[in-house]
Amino acid sequence: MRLTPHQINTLKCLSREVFGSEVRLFLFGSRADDHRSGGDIDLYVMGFKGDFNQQLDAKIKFLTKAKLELGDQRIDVIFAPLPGQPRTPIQRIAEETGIAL
Amino acid sequence: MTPQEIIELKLSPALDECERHQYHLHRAWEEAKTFFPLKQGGEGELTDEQVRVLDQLLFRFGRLQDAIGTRLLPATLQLVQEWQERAPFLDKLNRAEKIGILPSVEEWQLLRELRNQTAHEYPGQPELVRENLARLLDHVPDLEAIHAQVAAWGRERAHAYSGKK
Repeated sequence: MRLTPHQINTLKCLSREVFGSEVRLFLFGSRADDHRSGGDIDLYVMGFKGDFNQQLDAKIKFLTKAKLELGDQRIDVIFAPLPGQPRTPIQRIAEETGIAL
Repeated sequence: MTPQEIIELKLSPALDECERHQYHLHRAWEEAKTFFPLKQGGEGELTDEQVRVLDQLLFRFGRLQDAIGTRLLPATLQLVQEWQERAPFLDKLNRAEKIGILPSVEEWQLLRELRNQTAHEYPGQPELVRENLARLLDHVPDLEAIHAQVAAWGRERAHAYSGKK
């Protein structure tokens, strides 16, 4: 995985603070692959307790804080499906390839 | 550059530009509020005219924040000799917050994030588009307040220098 210890630490701390201590945070996409370079930081969040609107608010809050800490770079957050919702292709890829942070 | 040159060549044009964006942003916001919140179905059910209003709103929101960040704030910081050319942008924002030009760096970044989220294309997710737009709309007054504070600060300093001439 291509994140610095500082980036990992910051993302984990902010995840606990914003999404709650019970969530699990995964890195997927190009940053999870040592053989690629550059790319967005794609994060997958499992176990967030909240509805669609709470997800959106939390996502914006998390990204705001993360960019203040890590600089303005491309970070994206995808949540696991809400109860009763089917898995989208991107959620499936995240679950199959994601590395726990 | 002398303070007078900063005022004439940088601060005044930046104030004018921000004023223009603010005017069009506010007009679009007033109009958009008449058809928000959107009902189920989201953007697809908007009229052409409503889409134009939202496009205008997003465009001016972005331009206003950019103009404040890249022209108005730098000119104001230069005028009070707080400008560090090579410092990262975030450090400049923090400096501006510390001396009271900018209300809050975190709020600034939040506004950027709201704009980023509305810039994403989410095909097949009308609810997401609708909710992101609604959030941006809610925060237009915050961007206007930031503009008002930075502009007032800049004008006040410019006025003080003009008085010294």
